Amino acid sequence: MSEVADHPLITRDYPMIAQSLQLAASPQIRNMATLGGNVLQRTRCPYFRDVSYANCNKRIPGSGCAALDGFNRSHAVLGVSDACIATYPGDFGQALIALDGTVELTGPNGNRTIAFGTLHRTPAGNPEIETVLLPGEIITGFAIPAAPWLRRSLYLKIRDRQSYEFALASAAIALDLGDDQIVREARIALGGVATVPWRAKSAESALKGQQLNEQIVNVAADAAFADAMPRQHNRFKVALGKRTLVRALLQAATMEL
Amino acid sequence: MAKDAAPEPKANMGQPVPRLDARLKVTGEARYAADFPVSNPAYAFLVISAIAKGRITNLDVETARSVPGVLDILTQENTTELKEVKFGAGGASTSIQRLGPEIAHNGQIIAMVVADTFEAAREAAYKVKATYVEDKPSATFGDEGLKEEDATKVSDRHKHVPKVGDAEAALASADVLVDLEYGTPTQHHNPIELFAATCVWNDGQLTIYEPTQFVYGLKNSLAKKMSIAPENVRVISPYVGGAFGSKGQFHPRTGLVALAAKKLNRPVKLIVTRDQGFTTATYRAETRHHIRLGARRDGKIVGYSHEGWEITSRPDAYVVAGVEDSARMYDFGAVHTKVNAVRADRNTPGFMRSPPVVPYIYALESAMDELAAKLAIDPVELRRINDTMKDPITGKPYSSRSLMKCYDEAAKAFDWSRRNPEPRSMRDGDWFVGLGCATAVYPTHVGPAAARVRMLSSGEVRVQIAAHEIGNGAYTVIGQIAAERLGVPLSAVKVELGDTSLPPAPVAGGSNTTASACSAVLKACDAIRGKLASSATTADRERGVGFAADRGQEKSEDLFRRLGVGAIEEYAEFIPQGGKPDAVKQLYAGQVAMAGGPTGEKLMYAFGAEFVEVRIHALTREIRVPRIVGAFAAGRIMNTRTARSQYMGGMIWGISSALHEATEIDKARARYVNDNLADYLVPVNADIDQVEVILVPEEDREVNPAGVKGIGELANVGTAAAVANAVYHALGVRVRELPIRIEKLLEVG
Repeated sequence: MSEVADHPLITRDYPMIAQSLQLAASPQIRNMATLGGNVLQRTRCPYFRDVSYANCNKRIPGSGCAALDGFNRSHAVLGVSDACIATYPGDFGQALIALDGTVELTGPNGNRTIAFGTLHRTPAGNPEIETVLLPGEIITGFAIPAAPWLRRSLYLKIRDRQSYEFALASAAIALDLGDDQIVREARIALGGVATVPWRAKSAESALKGQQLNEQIVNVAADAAFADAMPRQHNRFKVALGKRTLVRALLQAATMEL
Repeated sequence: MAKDAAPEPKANMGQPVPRLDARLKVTGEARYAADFPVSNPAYAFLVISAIAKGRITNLDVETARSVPGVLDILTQENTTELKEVKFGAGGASTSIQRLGPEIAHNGQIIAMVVADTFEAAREAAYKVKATYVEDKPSATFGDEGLKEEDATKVSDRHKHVPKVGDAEAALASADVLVDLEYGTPTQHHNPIELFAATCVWNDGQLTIYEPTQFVYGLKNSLAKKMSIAPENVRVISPYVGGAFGSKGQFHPRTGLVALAAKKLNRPVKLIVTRDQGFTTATYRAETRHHIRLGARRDGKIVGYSHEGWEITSRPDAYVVAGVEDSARMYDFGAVHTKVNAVRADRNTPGFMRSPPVVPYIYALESAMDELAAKLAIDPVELRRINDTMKDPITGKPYSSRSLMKCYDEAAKAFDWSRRNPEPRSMRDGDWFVGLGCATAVYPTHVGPAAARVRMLSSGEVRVQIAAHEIGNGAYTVIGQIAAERLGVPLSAVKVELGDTSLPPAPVAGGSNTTASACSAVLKACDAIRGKLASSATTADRERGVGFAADRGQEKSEDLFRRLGVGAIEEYAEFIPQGGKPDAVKQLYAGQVAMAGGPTGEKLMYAFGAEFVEVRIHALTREIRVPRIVGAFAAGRIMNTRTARSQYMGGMIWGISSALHEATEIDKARARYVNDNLADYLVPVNADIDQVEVILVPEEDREVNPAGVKGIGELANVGTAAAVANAVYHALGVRVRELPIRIEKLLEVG
């Protein structure tokens, strides 16, 4: 992770990717960690991690979900189901999904390439199956297509402490702005709030063709969270997620290229 | 930074010598309890309950027993010979005395597996299957089934309710009244060194290696637990890797380890895992407060009412009852206080760094800020108007109190005058800026202690006292006081601590170690000086023979020669003023009678003032703390380097307490959810920016012979209020329940 995070080409041309890596984990962990391992990082849901909880559909299919009525402050509000509300914890995954990245896989049946956006599965029916990887398959590479919005991109991560902590809410933003701040293209992904790396296409279309200003970014933020399903302790994630997206968009718009 | 780390001593302050054990600790040479090599140890692993309330109907250990390497499984059936050590007086909890069948809290110990390897013990522990009948537990405030009781009726720790005058009438007549409620969360100590015990039997003699804040307490309690004579038990604990109160009391689990070692006739080592430490040890209980403060228009407070509620376990009525200190803070006029113990299906809470004052002073100092805002008086000036040199309850004087000096020095360093009193008025770009302050206070405790000091004619000195190195710098300051008193360089002094084969010192709690241990060491050193002085001639005395720090060594050699001895060894016992004559005998038996705080003829307290700057993002509401300044006055400062370090650690903990730390509770299951260091948040380096410590000179010859007030628990008191007050100033919103997290600041525009 650290090699990519600090690579001069990445920091110059793909700021969103560099930042999503720099803001993850700790320097020691980044030095050891691989990109493939990072995107497959499993949820921090305490009811999943602590095997003494009897109800976890991800760990014991059909056993129920203790987080639904438990302490669910860190849990997801997007892409949830009654079977599982565990949050996808990573950062880099948001960058990959926002930038239409692809994943190269190698397995017993040979190589294949899939869209990163199809790698993770929402927990709808079978939360115990988290990705479309087949038995024996490993990730060997990622590809990110060149695009005019890559330089005006960033990753904003909001969390309970300033380092070594997962996101409460994060936003991966890439903008292609024309004259008068008209949005030619926007790429938006959200972290800390969803069960999988989350592309906010409704927010992207709300911005497309519009002049980027405070009003329109708020419209986009509302669109991104229109389907949010909060629970007792994570209600704030809707407001925080929107504010994070607004801040990230306004910040991206003022980037000097 | 190096200059900051070793502040130049001011009046009544010792040299900033580096810790004697600094190099040992950073190189891994310092030997902690679990590091002691023992021959052929077996390893133990705890099995804990998965429910919070109910009863074990069946405990199946057969599968576990078949794991290769398993030697024994201790359960309620085969441990009946272990006696109960009652809660209080050194015992931590009754709820984990029995391994079942009743379950009183989640994570209660129900069995312990012993095996040839740690891995086998752990594997087998996971294979012990308990079947329960489960009842609905009551976890915390707001739940059904709690039992609320007046603490004075159920707790030995709170018998005197501070009260004076007619508080209701005073509050009713006040020009300005604030009527407020505050809350603090559950917190766990989480010392980096895990709880551990290794027990070794040899010819009926039991040696225990365990990190403890009280070796004599552990020795005597364990003897009771095992029904053996205390003289057959030795406890060795030369370094403790963090404790903060969690290792002060005897825990019944050590009895299990001792019993297992006895049954197997083999050393047994137990290291409790991080998550098991959350439920098998103590914690800081959540509290609620109702405070009313009434004042005249000019700021003079006329009435203070403070009622507290504290969560405790069903069997043990542990309370901290911080009103005993908060009621003495200012010239309140009339005072009314009450403390309630609220019983829930939880493990028993216990001492955690500055136990009474952290929650109660947080509430009072927050209310003081709210009163200042309502009066439109500067918060520092409100404290000045109500500063007092005597106890508002009894009229007894303070032995010394330098609170306003601390405020003045800290305010100057912090540049408090730049503060626009209007909330939400200061901004730096996208960030709201807030400045807040609060008082730090801690009662000065001192206990009985005994010490043995031996001085050789060569000038080498050995100091022996079973005090505790818990990160407090005990080796260093005890060495410093002996070196200073005997006129030898510190390098000539060897200090031995943390072993019941040495003379006893009190529990390392209540910040008493320096006061108690140094007073005993001083007494032994003075006895040596007396003997040496008796051999000195008038000419010697005129020449100043003896103890000038720079040349005492070679001169004292002459005195030894004249006495015709190569060494002098003195054993001394110190009993604080007003202490019972048998106080040291009691200490040998593991009992400590602590003096100080509000209990003596004079009030003994250390004070400080803390100023905090916060920045809050206008949109996303993250809270940053770019700067904290604290000024503290606490009698003689033995070592400005270790003192600064203690204060700095305390202030950082205070920030943590305000913004980060909380043990989250799953209310339906009465379980701690974030029982690991990844999810239990403490600040990382990136969260802590400028931390400035100001040592304010103060001399107090009345507190104890060493003239020191404890400082270990001073600086994390009031910090949370200072942060909360700064948050209010930044945003205009009061958060009255800790920790202050983003979600509590999102609802305001």
